[in-house]
Amino acid sequence: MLTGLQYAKMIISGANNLINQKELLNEMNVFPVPDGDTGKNMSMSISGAKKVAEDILDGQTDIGNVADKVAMATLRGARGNSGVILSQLLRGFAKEMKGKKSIDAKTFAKCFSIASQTAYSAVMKPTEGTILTVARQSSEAVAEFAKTSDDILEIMKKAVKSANISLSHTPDLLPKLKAAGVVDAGGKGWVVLLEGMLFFLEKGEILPLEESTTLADTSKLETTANEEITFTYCTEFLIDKSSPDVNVDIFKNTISKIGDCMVVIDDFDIVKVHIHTDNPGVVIQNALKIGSLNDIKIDNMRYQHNEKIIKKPEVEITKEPKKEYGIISVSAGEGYSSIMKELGVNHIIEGGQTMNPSAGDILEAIEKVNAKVIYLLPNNKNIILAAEAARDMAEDKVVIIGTSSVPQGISALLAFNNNSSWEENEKSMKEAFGLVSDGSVTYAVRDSENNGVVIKKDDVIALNKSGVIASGKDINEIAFELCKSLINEDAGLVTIYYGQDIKEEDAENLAEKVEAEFSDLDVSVQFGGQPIYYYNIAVE
Amino acid sequence: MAVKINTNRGQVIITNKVIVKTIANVCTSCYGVVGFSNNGRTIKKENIAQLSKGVKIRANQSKLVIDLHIVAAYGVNIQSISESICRNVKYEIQHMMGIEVDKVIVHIDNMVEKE
Repeated sequence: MLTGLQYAKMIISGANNLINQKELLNEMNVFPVPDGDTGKNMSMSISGAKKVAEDILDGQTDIGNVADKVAMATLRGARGNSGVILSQLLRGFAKEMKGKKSIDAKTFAKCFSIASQTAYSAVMKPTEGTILTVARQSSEAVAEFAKTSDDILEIMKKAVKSANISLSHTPDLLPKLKAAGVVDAGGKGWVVLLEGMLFFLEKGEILPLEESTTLADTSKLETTANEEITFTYCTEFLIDKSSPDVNVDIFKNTISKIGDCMVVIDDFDIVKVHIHTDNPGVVIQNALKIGSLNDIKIDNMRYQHNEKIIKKPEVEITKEPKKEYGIISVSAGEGYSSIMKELGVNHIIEGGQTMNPSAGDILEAIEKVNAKVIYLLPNNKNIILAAEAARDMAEDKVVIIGTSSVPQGISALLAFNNNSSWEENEKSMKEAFGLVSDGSVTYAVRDSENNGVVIKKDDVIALNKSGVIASGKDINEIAFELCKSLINEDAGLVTIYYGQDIKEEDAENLAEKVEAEFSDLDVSVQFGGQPIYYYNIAVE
Repeated sequence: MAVKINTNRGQVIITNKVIVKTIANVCTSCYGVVGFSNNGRTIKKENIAQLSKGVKIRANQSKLVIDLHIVAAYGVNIQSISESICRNVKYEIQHMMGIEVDKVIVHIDNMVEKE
């Protein structure tokens, strides 16, 4: 059984080991950013946990309690990527130990699996070849081993051993590590912590903190760095064959041994040769045996490579030329958005009754549209203020068409003409939406009274400019009432936009009913897809 | 907007879309990031075109300013992961694309516990 006191001592021992070896970890740090701070980050992350564990040594407590405190302290002190992952691993331990006085070998083994799962859950796309991989692979080995063993010490040994094996494979998973000839620093940190914990279980005493830390280079691997360029000189030339019968194959075989990227083309009386080699002289001497040489070119590729790296390209960020006109429209529903797109809106801001875009959102849209004159359709009373604020901040000319509903916005869009001057467009768009009288059908969120209409919560209500005009239970009936109130002598066209909660056939039924009642009107049904509002109805 | 890089061998033009997608890609492998957020809506699909809606870029005197709207994992040290996101994104963009990054602004818009 493992007690809280033992776990606390294991953590202190592991923390000491981590602090002792922080310089080594710093040196190994090349991924994701080679800034050499993994050791510092990990040792600082664990030092809070160490302090908490030391406080516990005076009074004994349950292991669940200790693990929780250790995990919290690491979470608070976590620095850097590996530090955060370390805190997640210890949180996994704490999850499994929670509420327990002491734990047996099986639970201890399970801690490793939970730790790995917890760590993996905090990232969308885990990078393999890091501390995550080491934690996962060792937890898998431990889980397998625990089926046959009931000994905590043996399990800890297995964890350290399998973590070390996994660590040695990290360069195969991350090319950056291989190029630098190191194993993953964070993964190494986890191994170091586990080794420190094992030290306590084996020896029964806490691994001491060293006064000065020494540099060990045991974990450097034998790999060739700078893999891109193996041979220095790119050598190219043509050979005029001295006689058509010379044996080019012998030449090919000879030079293929001293270089790579070899291309030798035997073309009747000329041979074209290209090879990367460290000994261009040898290549040329061999070539002389077949004939005379022409167009000799030898380049030092390392020099080219360095030049490429050293020479910093100038960077400028440019903008595409501005369009004449751009239109920005606020939409509340996918149906509306696609109608607007068809009508030539350049940028659609998602918004509406419950989700008003901020002036910043609108300003961002204005910059994106990148036009000389931008028409802005707020399509909601509540957004007009934000639109005005954005207009004042924008560098481009912004014309606000003060539409207060989406159907009004659509009428305004229909009046837009790309060939007219901006003043004409502004005038005709404003006229167009002014002719629209519109209303909407929605539901009441609380009991109230408006315009003399008594409303109960969840009742269906119809609203027009002047407020609530009808309430009831049947959506289509209320919508029909609304239509009647909107239609006057000048009306010619009724457009019914139905929301996401309404079926198309219901909307068609409503349209038929309106057509039957007002035979001289055109009625059209469109999918608006808006939330909250069952119908938006426009009459013009 | 696009980024033009003049080298001694010619010009490279990188469109915004490419930059934004690259940033989103780098960000998804940052520890602690479990999703992105677009206007308050959480995007967790592993689809780079969707995710890149949580990435906004603009220019500040020929340098890039990056706004990241992310969803963080519950139970991680937010300050630490934000710092490492800034560093990773800056490093990768400067080294992969040769574009100087002025600043990276991390907005933690939501937090979820992924099980």
